[in-house]
Amino acid sequence: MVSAGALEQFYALFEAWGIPWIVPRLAIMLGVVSIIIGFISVSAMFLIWWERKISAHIQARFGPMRVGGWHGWAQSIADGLKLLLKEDIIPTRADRPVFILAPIVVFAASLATYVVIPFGPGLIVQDLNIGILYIIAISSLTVVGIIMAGWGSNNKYAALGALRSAAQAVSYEVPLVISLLGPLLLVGSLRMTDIVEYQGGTWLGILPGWLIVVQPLAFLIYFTCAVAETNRLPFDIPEAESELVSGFHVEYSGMRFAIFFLAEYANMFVVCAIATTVFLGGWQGPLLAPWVWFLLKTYFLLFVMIWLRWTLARVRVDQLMHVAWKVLLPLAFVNLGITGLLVLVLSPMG
Amino acid sequence: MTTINLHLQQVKERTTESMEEMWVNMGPQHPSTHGVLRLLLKLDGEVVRECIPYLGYMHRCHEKIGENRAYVQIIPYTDRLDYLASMYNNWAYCLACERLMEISIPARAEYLRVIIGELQRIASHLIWLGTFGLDLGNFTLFMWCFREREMILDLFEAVSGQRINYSFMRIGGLALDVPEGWLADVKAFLAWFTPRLSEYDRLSTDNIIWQKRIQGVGILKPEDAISYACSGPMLRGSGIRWDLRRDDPYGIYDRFEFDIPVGPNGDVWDRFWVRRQEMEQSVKIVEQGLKAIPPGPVLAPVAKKLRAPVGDIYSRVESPRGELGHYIVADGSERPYRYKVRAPTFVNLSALPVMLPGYMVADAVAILGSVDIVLCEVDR
Amino acid sequence: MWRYLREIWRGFWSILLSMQITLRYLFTRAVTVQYPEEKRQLPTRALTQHVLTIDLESQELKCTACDMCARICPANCIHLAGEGKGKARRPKWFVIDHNLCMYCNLCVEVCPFDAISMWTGKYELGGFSRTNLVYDMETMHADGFYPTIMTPRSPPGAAAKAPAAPGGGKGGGKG
Repeated sequence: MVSAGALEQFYALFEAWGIPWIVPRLAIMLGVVSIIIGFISVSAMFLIWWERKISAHIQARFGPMRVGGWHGWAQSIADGLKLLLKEDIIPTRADRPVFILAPIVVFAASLATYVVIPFGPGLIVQDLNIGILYIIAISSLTVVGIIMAGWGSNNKYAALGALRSAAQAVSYEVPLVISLLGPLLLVGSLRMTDIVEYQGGTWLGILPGWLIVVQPLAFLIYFTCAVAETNRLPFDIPEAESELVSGFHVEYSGMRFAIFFLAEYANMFVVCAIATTVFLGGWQGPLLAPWVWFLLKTYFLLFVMIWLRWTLARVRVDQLMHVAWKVLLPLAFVNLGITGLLVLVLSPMG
Repeated sequence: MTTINLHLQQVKERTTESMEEMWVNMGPQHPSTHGVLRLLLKLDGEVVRECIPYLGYMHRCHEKIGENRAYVQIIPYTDRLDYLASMYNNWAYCLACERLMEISIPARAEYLRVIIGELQRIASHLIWLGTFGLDLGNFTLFMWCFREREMILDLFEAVSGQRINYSFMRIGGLALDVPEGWLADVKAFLAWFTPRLSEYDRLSTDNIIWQKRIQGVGILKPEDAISYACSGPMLRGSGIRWDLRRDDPYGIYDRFEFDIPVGPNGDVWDRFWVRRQEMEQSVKIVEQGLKAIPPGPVLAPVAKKLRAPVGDIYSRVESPRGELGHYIVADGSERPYRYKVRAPTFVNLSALPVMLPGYMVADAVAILGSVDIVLCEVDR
Repeated sequence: MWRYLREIWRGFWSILLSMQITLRYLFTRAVTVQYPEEKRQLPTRALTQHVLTIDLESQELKCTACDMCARICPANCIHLAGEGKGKARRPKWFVIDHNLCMYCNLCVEVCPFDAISMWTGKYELGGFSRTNLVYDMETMHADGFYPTIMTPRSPPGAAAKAPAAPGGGKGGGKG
């Protein structure tokens, strides 16, 4: 976020005062974490409001109109306050530690992925050289939290939802990773900034240098898997409200439920941010500031996700597996093979 | 060969017994049991092995109340049976009373009953389509269907003053004539409604997820449908062309031209498709009715205090959910001696344990949705 | 192989078609009504709170306490007592318990004197206790012309005398 030199000066200042080296580093970490949590909360609140408005207008109604005046913009804040003030109920037969820990695990997993999201040049917390791999690894931790929630609730519906979620996550991680491999082959690096900078130019002089132009199939596969990863319709079977009431978080109420909710929207943002970074050229764009471009693209993808949710019905468990293993995975492999072949043929020998 | 088969059967049974199965209580508070139905499901993983429905949470002694009310006073109570198709309950009850008392009703009232009844069928099927969409996870379809249903309710409100529990039909005709310009409003509604059907199709019929979810699921064989006395779209979805409007015509249905859609396979898709096409047929019937409706009175001259002659009558109509029958035993007094309602959804629901086993939980919701139950009518 | 690909394409295309129509709806007008600020125009026949209609000339209740409405009511929610004899008979007290009312309109239809109406457009009946919904003669006393089954539009001949009659005409949306 800040240049390395300034950070060194900051540390040196504390050392000069004789404060142990760990203190400034912890302070910086805390600062970054609070900024990220602040960003997540604000963006999730905005997304919830936005989703409610979009769904309402698709359905020929208004959605929230009261709180805050203009089109009910403060609705999410009011909802958040309400959830904060609600009674915290832990079922008597629940596995207490697991039950309490589950939302924290889910939220922590989605929080950790924000570390490598490149909002703009320099606007990245830690530009890891294994950025994409890190995100994929960390984001699959979410399912651990979901299983904990399902198990800890000691509820049959929750357990069913958790098991569905586990099956879904395991199946969809595979095509997701393989679909990302195609673009990464072209880029030749896992570092997020490298991926964005690779897309700076143009294809054939006219099209933007985004990877979606050469990897449309990979993008579609990635996006489908991303929707499934975030448990959204049409792949929301872990929380299918008409079947499993609300799946793994059926026993959660108040702030614990809110954390699940927050984590869902945070995850949505993450998967869309990755799609933006890998396929839509990240912060690249004319005129506007880089971070504006990044957010614009990400929010467009989020809009598509919301739009999909309010258009489609839910798939069944076996169909979900069918889509993952028999449709997406073969297509992803085909895409990877063709990309690899082209890279091999077109790249200069040696 | 038989011994081997028997042995295999025993092995199979033993393995299923030893496998982890669990009983799940679906309802009475569950978003997709459409009211207070309680299903006890035996689940093997995701697959339903057994289903036991429990009814009676909404029982409110409708029939016993009816035995303590004068004939005309029962009409408002019949509204509360199938509250999504109140007009049909009114109609079935009034028809039974008219047949018992040998009252013939004016021609205009007959036509208005058909028009209102078919509009009610559209409204009821719209609710069904919407909630079925909700069961499958499509919330948008639900809202769109409700929008058009609200328009029908507006029409009914202009006629009867009520949006759900109309109490509009009377023994001998209708309570009131329709207001001026109402028939034109109906025509305008039909013109608006017909293109909306293709919009629903975009979200439902044409959509691949929708198709895959309900095709080949919850098959009810024709012989099962008959032996469980199913009626309405449940029976027609199983390939049996049986519609009381044609096979036991009441009112003036013999004067109307309409098709009876049937489905060949008896799965959820067929039941969905039968209802979807019935909406089109209802539009057709209403259009014919609007063309042919004569002027005149809407209520036959009947006594203020109705007394039925000693005897009994069973009279049935084709409600959106099936054969809705009212059975009245009269002892010559102002009140029925015995009053019984044959609720189509109650009978259709009894076929649920045949349809459910072997399908998944998600299918269970779809199958239950395809029965189109109204718990107020099931429990009475 | 070819069928497999065609099936995938068909699914993809059908989803795009569905999305097209929802996108179109995103930019159509909402049909819902923002209730407290914006109110629906009720049809004349909307069944709402009971009113005991009055003779517009003498401002007296038309009711003669004949007890027909109380007897026809399936829910037994009408209670009344009359005083006086013959044509001078008027209700002494008249109570309708709207907690029990089923809005069937039977009491109105049975009334031979057109003395009770439910076409009043008073639909905001919420109260904080059950007794708020028990209406006596004073609250049900009509303050002007209300449409009834026999006079759905305006009183015959009295239209000129009561031009600003509330609830008259087609609207009845008197809140």
